[in-house]
Amino acid sequence: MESPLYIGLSRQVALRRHLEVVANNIANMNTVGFRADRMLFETAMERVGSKRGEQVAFTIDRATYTDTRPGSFRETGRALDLAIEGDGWIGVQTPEGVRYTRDARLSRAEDGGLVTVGGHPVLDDGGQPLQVPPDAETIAIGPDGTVTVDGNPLARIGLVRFEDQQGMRRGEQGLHATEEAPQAAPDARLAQGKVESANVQPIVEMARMMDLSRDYQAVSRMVEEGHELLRSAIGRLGKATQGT
Amino acid sequence: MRVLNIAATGMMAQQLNVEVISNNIANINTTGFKRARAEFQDLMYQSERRQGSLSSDTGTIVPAGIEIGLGVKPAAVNRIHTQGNLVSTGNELDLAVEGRGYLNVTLPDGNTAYTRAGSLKLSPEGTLVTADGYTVAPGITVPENTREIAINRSGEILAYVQGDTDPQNLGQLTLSVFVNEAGLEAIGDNLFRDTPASGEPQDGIAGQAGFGSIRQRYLESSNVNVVQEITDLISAQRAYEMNSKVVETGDEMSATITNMR
Repeated sequence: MESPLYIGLSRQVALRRHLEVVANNIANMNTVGFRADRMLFETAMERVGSKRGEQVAFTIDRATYTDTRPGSFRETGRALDLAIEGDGWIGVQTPEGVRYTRDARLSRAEDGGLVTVGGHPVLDDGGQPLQVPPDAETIAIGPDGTVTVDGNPLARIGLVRFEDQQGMRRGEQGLHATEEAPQAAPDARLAQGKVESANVQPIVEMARMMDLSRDYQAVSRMVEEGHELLRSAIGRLGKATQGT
Repeated sequence: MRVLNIAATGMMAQQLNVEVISNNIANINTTGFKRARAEFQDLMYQSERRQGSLSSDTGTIVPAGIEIGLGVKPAAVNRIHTQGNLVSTGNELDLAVEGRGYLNVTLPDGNTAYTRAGSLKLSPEGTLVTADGYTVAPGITVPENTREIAINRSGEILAYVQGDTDPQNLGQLTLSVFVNEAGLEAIGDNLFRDTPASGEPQDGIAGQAGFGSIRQRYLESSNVNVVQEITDLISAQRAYEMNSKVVETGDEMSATITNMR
Protein backbone atom coordinates (compact mmCIF):
# COMPACT_ATOMS: atom_id res chain seq x y z
CA MET A 1 0.00 0.00 0.00
CA GLU A 2 2.84 2.40 0.79
CA SER A 3 4.69 1.61 -2.42
CA PRO A 4 3.99 4.97 -4.10
CA LEU A 5 5.60 6.74 -1.17
CA TYR A 6 8.71 4.61 -1.22
CA ILE A 7 9.07 4.61 -4.98
CA GLY A 8 8.82 8.38 -4.89
CA LEU A 9 11.34 8.53 -2.10
CA SER A 10 13.83 6.38 -3.98
CA ARG A 11 13.61 8.73 -6.94
CA GLN A 12 13.87 11.84 -4.80
CA VAL A 13 17.00 10.60 -3.03
CA ALA A 14 18.57 9.79 -6.40
CA LEU A 15 17.58 13.15 -7.88
CA ARG A 16 19.06 15.03 -4.99
CA ARG A 17 22.38 13.25 -5.43
CA HIS A 18 22.19 13.91 -9.12
CA LEU A 19 21.78 17.62 -8.45
CA GLU A 20 24.90 17.50 -6.29
CA VAL A 21 26.84 15.98 -9.15
CA VAL A 22 25.56 18.66 -11.54
CA ALA A 23 26.38 21.37 -8.97
CA ASN A 24 29.95 20.08 -8.73
CA ASN A 25 30.28 20.10 -12.52
CA ILE A 26 29.06 23.68 -12.72
CA ALA A 27 31.25 24.79 -9.79
CA ASN A 28 34.27 23.38 -11.66
CA MET A 29 33.38 24.94 -15.01
CA ASN A 30 36.61 26.95 -15.02
CA THR A 31 38.86 24.32 -13.40
CA VAL A 32 41.69 23.32 -15.72
CA GLY A 33 41.78 19.62 -16.61
CA PHE A 34 38.47 18.92 -14.85
CA ARG A 35 36.26 16.17 -16.23
CA ALA A 36 32.54 16.19 -15.64
CA ASP A 37 30.78 13.49 -13.64
CA ARG A 38 27.69 11.73 -14.93
CA MET A 39 25.26 9.61 -13.01
CA LEU A 40 24.04 6.14 -13.82
CA PHE A 41 20.59 5.03 -12.67
CA GLU A 42 19.23 1.56 -12.42
CA THR A 43 15.86 0.04 -11.62
CA ALA A 44 15.33 -2.35 -8.79
CA MET A 45 12.27 -4.53 -9.31
CA GLU A 46 10.12 -5.81 -6.56
CA ARG A 47 7.11 -8.06 -6.79
CA VAL A 48 4.17 -6.61 -4.96
CA GLY A 49 1.16 -8.68 -5.98
CA SER A 50 0.63 -12.38 -5.99
CA LYS A 51 0.37 -12.55 -9.76
CA ARG A 52 3.34 -12.61 -12.09
CA GLY A 53 4.05 -9.21 -13.63
CA GLU A 54 2.69 -7.25 -10.74
CA GLN A 55 5.92 -5.51 -10.12
CA VAL A 56 7.03 -2.09 -9.09
CA ALA A 57 10.35 -0.56 -9.89
CA PHE A 58 12.43 1.52 -7.53
CA THR A 59 15.24 3.64 -8.82
CA ILE A 60 18.82 3.34 -7.58
CA ASP A 61 21.66 5.72 -8.32
CA ARG A 62 24.10 3.00 -9.22
CA ALA A 63 27.25 4.91 -9.94
CA THR A 64 28.90 8.07 -11.08
CA TYR A 65 31.22 7.87 -14.03
CA THR A 66 33.61 10.32 -15.57
CA ASP A 67 33.01 11.91 -18.92
CA THR A 68 36.34 11.25 -20.66
CA ARG A 69 35.81 13.55 -23.60
CA PRO A 70 38.69 16.00 -23.94
CA GLY A 71 38.10 19.62 -22.98
CA SER A 72 38.84 22.44 -25.37
CA PHE A 73 42.31 23.96 -25.33
CA ARG A 74 42.85 27.52 -24.26
CA GLU A 75 45.89 29.53 -25.28
CA THR A 76 47.67 31.11 -22.30
CA GLY A 77 51.10 31.93 -23.71
CA ARG A 78 52.76 30.85 -20.46
CA ALA A 79 55.70 28.55 -21.22
CA LEU A 80 55.02 26.11 -18.39
CA ASP A 81 51.31 25.63 -19.11
CA LEU A 82 50.86 22.26 -20.76
CA ALA A 83 47.79 20.60 -22.19
CA ILE A 84 47.60 16.85 -22.79
CA GLU A 85 46.23 15.93 -26.18
CA GLY A 86 44.69 12.48 -26.39
CA ASP A 87 44.47 9.72 -23.82
CA GLY A 88 47.28 10.45 -21.38
CA TRP A 89 48.07 11.47 -17.84
CA ILE A 90 51.11 12.87 -16.11
CA GLY A 91 52.29 11.36 -12.84
CA VAL A 92 53.03 13.49 -9.78
CA GLN A 93 54.65 12.59 -6.49
CA THR A 94 52.42 13.33 -3.49
CA PRO A 95 52.97 12.47 0.18
CA GLU A 96 50.36 9.71 -0.26
CA GLY A 97 52.15 8.19 -3.25
CA VAL A 98 52.02 8.62 -7.01
CA ARG A 99 48.89 10.32 -8.35
CA TYR A 100 47.87 11.08 -11.92
CA THR A 101 46.43 14.30 -13.30
CA ARG A 102 45.59 16.03 -16.57
CA ASP A 103 46.09 19.47 -15.06
CA ALA A 104 49.61 20.36 -16.20
CA ARG A 105 49.89 24.00 -15.18
CA LEU A 106 53.46 23.68 -14.01
CA SER A 107 55.78 26.06 -12.25
CA ARG A 108 59.34 25.92 -10.97
CA ALA A 109 60.04 24.90 -7.41
CA GLU A 110 62.75 26.73 -5.49
CA ASP A 111 65.21 23.93 -6.33
CA GLY A 112 64.37 24.36 -10.02
CA GLY A 113 62.21 21.24 -10.47
CA LEU A 114 58.82 21.28 -12.19
CA VAL A 115 55.80 21.16 -9.87
CA THR A 116 52.03 21.36 -10.30
CA VAL A 117 49.81 24.08 -8.85
CA GLY A 118 49.52 21.97 -5.69
CA GLY A 119 53.34 21.88 -5.41
CA HIS A 120 53.69 18.20 -6.28
CA PRO A 121 56.81 17.27 -8.31
CA VAL A 122 56.16 15.98 -11.84
CA LEU A 123 57.57 12.53 -12.67
CA ASP A 124 59.70 11.75 -15.71
CA ASP A 125 59.33 8.69 -17.95
CA GLY A 126 61.32 6.64 -15.42
CA GLY A 127 58.93 7.49 -12.60
CA GLN A 128 61.44 9.78 -10.83
CA PRO A 129 60.81 13.45 -9.96
CA LEU A 130 61.97 15.58 -12.86
CA GLN A 131 65.06 17.67 -12.06
CA VAL A 132 65.77 20.92 -13.83
CA PRO A 133 68.89 22.95 -12.94
CA PRO A 134 67.92 26.09 -10.99
CA ASP A 135 69.81 28.36 -13.39
CA ALA A 136 67.88 27.14 -16.44
CA GLU A 137 66.85 30.13 -18.53
CA THR A 138 64.45 28.78 -21.12
CA ILE A 139 62.48 25.57 -20.81
CA ALA A 140 60.90 24.13 -23.93
CA ILE A 141 58.68 21.07 -23.77
CA GLY A 142 58.18 19.02 -26.91
CA PRO A 143 55.02 17.18 -27.94
CA ASP A 144 56.46 13.87 -26.68
CA GLY A 145 57.28 15.43 -23.30
CA THR A 146 60.98 16.07 -23.93
CA VAL A 147 62.16 18.87 -21.68
CA THR A 148 64.79 20.99 -23.40
CA VAL A 149 66.70 23.36 -21.15
CA ASP A 150 68.66 26.12 -22.90
CA GLY A 151 68.82 24.03 -26.07
CA ASN A 152 69.91 20.75 -24.47
CA PRO A 153 67.43 17.87 -24.11
CA LEU A 154 67.40 17.01 -20.44
CA ALA A 155 64.61 14.62 -19.56
CA ARG A 156 61.19 13.51 -20.65
CA ILE A 157 57.92 14.09 -18.80
CA GLY A 158 56.28 10.71 -18.34
CA LEU A 159 53.01 10.37 -20.23
CA VAL A 160 51.00 7.35 -19.17
CA ARG A 161 47.60 5.87 -19.84
CA PHE A 162 45.29 3.41 -18.11
CA GLU A 163 43.03 0.70 -19.41
CA ASP A 164 40.29 1.41 -16.89
CA GLN A 165 39.80 5.14 -16.50
CA GLN A 166 36.53 4.73 -14.64
CA GLY A 167 38.22 2.73 -11.91
CA MET A 168 40.41 5.66 -10.93
CA ARG A 169 39.58 7.25 -7.60
CA ARG A 170 39.21 11.00 -7.87
CA GLY A 171 40.81 13.13 -5.23
CA GLU A 172 41.08 16.82 -4.65
CA GLN A 173 43.27 19.05 -6.83
CA GLY A 174 42.43 16.98 -9.90
CA LEU A 175 44.57 14.08 -8.66
CA HIS A 176 43.52 10.54 -9.50
CA ALA A 177 44.67 7.38 -7.75
CA THR A 178 44.63 3.89 -9.22
CA GLU A 179 45.99 0.45 -8.46
CA GLU A 180 46.49 -0.28 -12.15
CA ALA A 181 50.06 -0.18 -13.42
CA PRO A 182 50.59 2.74 -15.81
CA GLN A 183 51.30 1.96 -19.46
CA ALA A 184 53.19 4.15 -21.90
CA ALA A 185 50.92 6.47 -23.87
CA PRO A 186 52.43 6.78 -27.34
CA ASP A 187 49.37 8.61 -28.72
CA ALA A 188 49.33 11.36 -26.12
CA ARG A 189 50.93 14.69 -27.00
CA LEU A 190 51.81 17.70 -24.91
CA ALA A 191 51.01 21.18 -26.16
CA GLN A 192 53.03 23.99 -24.63
CA GLY A 193 51.48 27.35 -23.79
CA LYS A 194 47.98 25.92 -23.60
CA VAL A 195 45.73 24.51 -20.91
CA GLU A 196 42.86 22.07 -21.23
CA SER A 197 39.61 23.64 -20.04
CA ALA A 198 37.07 21.59 -18.14
CA ASN A 199 34.96 19.42 -20.44
CA VAL A 200 31.78 20.63 -18.72
CA GLN A 201 29.15 21.76 -21.19
CA PRO A 202 27.35 24.51 -19.27
CA ILE A 203 24.19 24.43 -21.42
CA VAL A 204 23.81 20.68 -21.03
CA GLU A 205 24.32 20.95 -17.27
CA MET A 206 21.75 23.76 -17.02
CA ALA A 207 19.22 21.79 -19.04
CA ARG A 208 19.86 18.74 -16.90
CA MET A 209 19.38 20.79 -13.78
CA MET A 210 16.04 22.20 -14.94
CA ASP A 211 14.98 18.75 -15.94
CA LEU A 212 15.73 17.19 -12.60
CA SER A 213 14.16 20.07 -10.71
CA ARG A 214 10.87 19.47 -12.60
CA ASP A 215 11.24 15.72 -12.09
CA TYR A 216 11.54 16.35 -8.40
CA GLN A 217 8.30 18.34 -8.37
CA ALA A 218 6.52 15.70 -10.41
CA VAL A 219 7.62 12.97 -8.02
CA SER A 220 6.50 14.94 -5.00
CA ARG A 221 3.11 15.47 -6.71
CA MET A 222 2.91 11.74 -7.28
CA VAL A 223 3.71 11.04 -3.64
CA GLU A 224 1.04 13.54 -2.60
CA GLU A 225 -1.52 11.85 -4.80
CA GLY A 226 -0.63 8.45 -3.41
CA HIS A 227 -1.07 9.95 0.01
CA GLU A 228 -4.45 11.45 -0.97
CA LEU A 229 -5.57 8.06 -2.27
CA LEU A 230 -4.67 6.47 1.03
CA ARG A 231 -6.45 9.15 3.00
CA SER A 232 -9.66 9.00 1.00
CA ALA A 233 -9.62 5.21 1.24
CA ILE A 234 -9.34 5.40 4.99
CA GLY A 235 -12.11 8.02 5.08
CA ARG A 236 -14.45 5.95 2.93
CA LEU A 237 -13.77 2.74 4.76
CA GLY A 238 -14.36 4.58 8.00
CA LYS A 239 -17.76 5.77 6.72
CA ALA A 240 -18.69 2.23 5.74
CA THR A 241 -18.05 1.00 9.27
CA GLN A 242 -20.06 3.91 10.70
CA GLY A 243 -22.97 3.02 8.40
CA THR A 244 -23.49 -0.46 9.79
CA MET B 1 22.00 20.50 1.86
CA ARG B 2 25.30 19.66 0.20
CA VAL B 3 24.19 21.17 -3.09
CA LEU B 4 24.00 24.68 -1.62
CA ASN B 5 27.56 24.39 -0.29
CA ILE B 6 28.87 23.07 -3.59
CA ALA B 7 27.30 25.94 -5.50
CA ALA B 8 28.57 28.40 -2.89
CA THR B 9 32.17 27.24 -3.45
CA GLY B 10 31.62 27.83 -7.16
CA MET B 11 30.30 31.34 -6.57
CA MET B 12 33.16 32.23 -4.22
CA ALA B 13 35.71 30.95 -6.73
CA GLN B 14 34.21 33.03 -9.52
CA GLN B 15 34.11 36.07 -7.28
CA LEU B 16 37.85 35.71 -6.66
CA ASN B 17 38.32 35.25 -10.39
CA VAL B 18 36.52 38.56 -11.07
CA GLU B 19 38.61 40.29 -8.40
CA VAL B 20 41.84 39.10 -9.99
CA ILE B 21 40.65 40.09 -13.46
CA SER B 22 39.56 43.54 -12.29
CA ASN B 23 42.98 44.13 -10.72
CA ASN B 24 44.59 43.17 -14.02
CA ILE B 25 42.37 45.60 -15.93
CA ALA B 26 42.95 48.35 -13.36
CA ASN B 27 46.71 47.98 -13.84
CA ILE B 28 46.64 47.92 -17.61
CA ASN B 29 48.77 51.08 -17.80
CA THR B 30 51.05 50.28 -14.86
CA THR B 31 54.69 50.05 -15.93
CA GLY B 32 56.19 46.60 -15.42
CA PHE B 33 52.93 45.11 -14.14
CA LYS B 34 52.53 41.36 -14.60
CA ARG B 35 49.03 39.99 -14.97
CA ALA B 36 47.75 37.48 -12.45
CA ARG B 37 45.59 34.45 -13.04
CA ALA B 38 43.42 32.69 -10.49
CA GLU B 39 44.02 28.93 -10.55
CA PHE B 40 41.22 26.61 -9.52
CA GLN B 41 41.22 23.01 -8.39
CA ASP B 42 38.43 20.62 -7.51
CA LEU B 43 37.78 19.75 -3.88
CA MET B 44 37.81 16.25 -2.45
CA TYR B 45 35.30 13.61 -3.50
CA GLN B 46 32.98 11.89 -1.07
CA SER B 47 32.63 8.21 -1.81
CA GLU B 48 29.12 6.99 -1.18
CA ARG B 49 29.87 3.63 -2.73
CA ARG B 50 33.43 2.78 -3.49
CA GLN B 51 34.35 1.25 -6.84
CA GLY B 52 35.77 -2.23 -6.44
CA SER B 53 33.53 -3.12 -3.49
CA LEU B 54 31.76 -6.47 -3.62
CA SER B 55 28.24 -6.36 -5.01
CA SER B 56 27.40 -10.03 -4.44
CA ASP B 57 28.67 -13.03 -2.53
CA THR B 58 29.94 -14.60 -5.77
CA GLY B 59 32.63 -11.99 -6.04
CA THR B 60 31.25 -9.53 -8.57
CA ILE B 61 32.49 -6.02 -7.95
CA VAL B 62 31.11 -2.57 -8.56
CA PRO B 63 32.95 -1.22 -11.59
CA ALA B 64 32.31 2.43 -10.81
CA GLY B 65 31.26 3.84 -7.47
CA ILE B 66 29.36 6.96 -6.50
CA GLU B 67 31.73 9.80 -5.93
CA ILE B 68 30.32 13.19 -5.21
CA GLY B 69 32.66 16.12 -5.58
CA LEU B 70 32.37 18.85 -3.01
CA GLY B 71 33.02 21.81 -5.27
CA VAL B 72 35.94 23.98 -6.25
CA LYS B 73 38.63 25.97 -4.48
CA PRO B 74 41.07 28.64 -5.55
CA ALA B 75 44.52 27.04 -5.39
CA ALA B 76 46.71 29.97 -6.27
CA VAL B 77 46.80 33.37 -7.87
CA ASN B 78 49.64 32.92 -10.28
CA ARG B 79 51.54 35.85 -11.72
CA ILE B 80 52.25 35.36 -15.41
CA HIS B 81 55.78 36.61 -16.02
CA THR B 82 55.78 37.09 -19.74
CA GLN B 83 57.54 40.06 -21.29
CA GLY B 84 55.43 43.21 -21.61
CA ASN B 85 55.67 45.39 -24.68
CA LEU B 86 58.50 47.93 -24.74
CA VAL B 87 57.32 51.46 -25.31
CA SER B 88 59.68 54.17 -26.47
CA THR B 89 59.45 57.21 -24.21
CA GLY B 90 62.49 59.29 -25.19
CA ASN B 91 63.21 60.00 -21.53
CA GLU B 92 66.86 59.26 -20.76
CA LEU B 93 66.14 57.90 -17.27
CA ASP B 94 63.51 55.42 -18.45
CA LEU B 95 64.80 51.92 -18.81
CA ALA B 96 63.26 48.55 -19.55
CA VAL B 97 64.59 45.07 -18.89
CA GLU B 98 64.29 42.95 -22.00
CA GLY B 99 64.37 39.32 -20.91
CA ARG B 100 64.83 37.99 -17.42
CA GLY B 101 65.91 40.06 -14.47
CA TYR B 102 64.75 42.53 -11.85
CA LEU B 103 66.31 45.82 -10.78
CA ASN B 104 67.27 45.87 -7.11
CA VAL B 105 65.72 48.60 -5.01
CA THR B 106 66.82 49.43 -1.46
CA LEU B 107 63.79 50.08 0.71
CA PRO B 108 63.92 52.71 3.50
CA ASP B 109 64.09 49.86 6.06
CA GLY B 110 67.26 48.52 4.45
CA ASN B 111 65.68 45.47 2.82
CA THR B 112 65.96 44.82 -0.88
CA ALA B 113 62.95 44.74 -3.18
CA TYR B 114 62.85 43.89 -6.87
CA THR B 115 61.13 45.70 -9.72
CA ARG B 116 60.83 45.75 -13.47
CA ALA B 117 59.42 49.28 -13.58
CA GLY B 118 62.41 51.30 -14.72
CA SER B 119 61.02 54.83 -14.70
CA LEU B 120 63.93 56.19 -12.69
CA LYS B 121 64.39 59.68 -11.33
CA LEU B 122 67.19 61.66 -9.73
CA SER B 123 67.05 62.53 -6.05
CA PRO B 124 68.07 66.06 -4.90
CA GLU B 125 71.52 64.62 -4.22
CA GLY B 126 71.75 63.22 -7.72
CA THR B 127 71.21 59.57 -6.76
CA LEU B 128 69.28 57.27 -9.11
CA VAL B 129 65.96 56.47 -7.40
CA THR B 130 62.61 54.92 -8.32
CA ALA B 131 59.44 56.98 -8.69
CA ASP B 132 58.93 56.57 -4.93
CA GLY B 133 62.42 57.83 -4.11
CA TYR B 134 63.96 54.47 -3.16
CA THR B 135 67.60 54.04 -4.14
CA VAL B 136 68.30 51.73 -7.06
CA ALA B 137 71.19 49.35 -6.29
CA PRO B 138 74.15 49.76 -6.31
CA GLY B 139 73.38 53.45 -5.59
CA ILE B 140 74.70 55.57 -8.38
CA THR B 141 75.19 59.31 -7.96
CA VAL B 142 75.24 61.46 -11.04
CA PRO B 143 77.73 64.36 -10.83
CA GLU B 144 76.60 67.95 -11.15
CA ASN B 145 76.68 69.64 -14.55
CA THR B 146 75.88 66.37 -16.33
CA ARG B 147 74.67 67.07 -19.84
CA GLU B 148 73.48 63.63 -20.67
CA ILE B 149 73.23 60.19 -19.12
CA ALA B 150 73.73 57.14 -21.27
CA ILE B 151 72.83 53.65 -20.08
CA ASN B 152 74.07 50.82 -22.23
CA ARG B 153 72.63 47.36 -22.68
CA SER B 154 74.68 45.83 -19.91
CA GLY B 155 73.47 48.48 -17.47
CA GLU B 156 76.60 50.62 -17.30
CA ILE B 157 75.77 54.23 -16.58
CA LEU B 158 77.85 56.82 -18.36
CA ALA B 159 77.63 60.54 -17.62
CA TYR B 160 78.69 63.21 -20.07
CA VAL B 161 79.73 66.11 -17.86
CA GLN B 162 79.87 69.68 -19.16
CA GLY B 163 83.30 70.53 -20.45
CA ASP B 164 84.50 66.94 -20.56
CA THR B 165 84.59 65.04 -23.84
CA ASP B 166 84.99 61.55 -22.40
CA PRO B 167 82.07 60.09 -20.50
CA GLN B 168 82.45 59.15 -16.86
CA ASN B 169 81.58 55.55 -15.95
CA LEU B 170 79.42 55.78 -12.82
CA GLY B 171 78.86 52.10 -12.23
CA GLN B 172 76.69 49.23 -13.34
CA LEU B 173 73.12 48.35 -12.38
CA THR B 174 72.57 45.03 -10.58
CA LEU B 175 69.99 42.60 -11.95
CA SER B 176 68.57 39.62 -10.06
CA VAL B 177 66.88 36.54 -11.43
CA PHE B 178 64.79 33.96 -9.59
CA VAL B 179 64.18 30.29 -10.17
CA ASN B 180 60.43 30.68 -9.65
CA GLU B 181 59.34 34.20 -10.49
CA ALA B 182 55.71 33.34 -9.72
CA GLY B 183 56.77 32.82 -6.10
CA LEU B 184 57.73 36.47 -5.62
CA GLU B 185 55.55 38.42 -3.23
CA ALA B 186 54.07 41.61 -4.65
CA ILE B 187 54.26 44.38 -2.05
CA GLY B 188 52.68 47.13 -4.15
CA ASP B 189 54.30 50.16 -5.79
CA ASN B 190 55.53 47.82 -8.58
CA LEU B 191 57.84 46.12 -6.08
CA PHE B 192 58.37 42.44 -5.33
CA ARG B 193 60.03 40.70 -2.43
CA ASP B 194 61.75 37.29 -2.47
CA THR B 195 60.09 34.44 -0.57
CA PRO B 196 61.07 30.82 0.16
CA ALA B 197 58.97 29.87 -2.90
CA SER B 198 60.81 32.16 -5.29
CA GLY B 199 64.24 30.94 -4.21
CA GLU B 200 67.25 33.09 -3.37
CA PRO B 201 67.97 35.92 -5.80
CA GLN B 202 70.89 35.27 -8.14
CA ASP B 203 72.62 38.57 -8.73
CA GLY B 204 74.36 39.45 -11.93
CA ILE B 205 74.60 42.06 -14.61
CA ALA B 206 72.57 42.64 -17.73
CA GLY B 207 73.72 40.85 -20.84
CA GLN B 208 75.33 38.00 -18.89
CA ALA B 209 74.10 34.48 -19.75
CA GLY B 210 70.70 33.98 -18.17
CA PHE B 211 70.06 37.70 -17.74
CA GLY B 212 68.14 40.12 -19.95
CA SER B 213 69.51 43.32 -21.35
CA ILE B 214 68.70 46.90 -20.43
CA ARG B 215 67.16 49.31 -22.91
CA GLN B 216 67.43 53.01 -22.25
CA ARG B 217 64.54 55.33 -23.26
CA TYR B 218 62.06 52.47 -23.17
CA LEU B 219 59.56 51.36 -20.56
CA GLU B 220 58.05 47.92 -20.22
CA SER B 221 54.28 48.24 -20.30
CA SER B 222 52.05 45.77 -18.47
CA ASN B 223 51.55 42.37 -20.07
CA VAL B 224 47.77 42.60 -19.66
CA ASN B 225 45.84 41.70 -22.78
CA VAL B 226 42.50 43.54 -22.70
CA VAL B 227 40.70 41.19 -25.04
CA GLN B 228 41.67 38.19 -22.96
CA GLU B 229 40.72 39.88 -19.69
CA ILE B 230 37.29 40.92 -20.98
CA THR B 231 36.64 37.43 -22.34
CA ASP B 232 37.67 35.94 -18.99
CA LEU B 233 35.44 38.45 -17.22
CA ILE B 234 32.41 37.46 -19.29
CA SER B 235 33.10 33.77 -18.73
CA ALA B 236 33.52 34.34 -14.97
CA GLN B 237 30.26 36.26 -14.79
CA ARG B 238 28.35 33.54 -16.64
CA ALA B 239 29.85 30.89 -14.39
CA TYR B 240 28.77 32.93 -11.37
CA GLU B 241 25.21 33.16 -12.72
CA MET B 242 25.06 29.44 -13.38
CA ASN B 243 26.21 28.66 -9.85
CA SER B 244 23.54 30.96 -8.48
CA LYS B 245 21.00 29.06 -10.59
CA VAL B 246 22.15 25.87 -8.89
CA VAL B 247 21.49 27.48 -5.51
CA GLU B 248 18.02 28.44 -6.75
CA THR B 249 17.31 24.88 -7.92
CA GLY B 250 18.50 23.38 -4.64
CA ASP B 251 16.29 25.82 -2.80
CA GLU B 252 13.31 25.00 -5.03
CA MET B 253 13.77 21.32 -4.29
CA SER B 254 13.71 21.98 -0.59
CA ALA B 255 10.62 24.13 -1.01
CA THR B 256 8.90 21.26 -2.84
CA ILE B 257 9.60 19.03 0.14
CA THR B 258 8.34 21.54 2.69
CA ASN B 259 5.11 21.91 0.76
CA MET B 260 4.45 18.18 0.71
CA ARG B 261 1.77 16.95 3.04
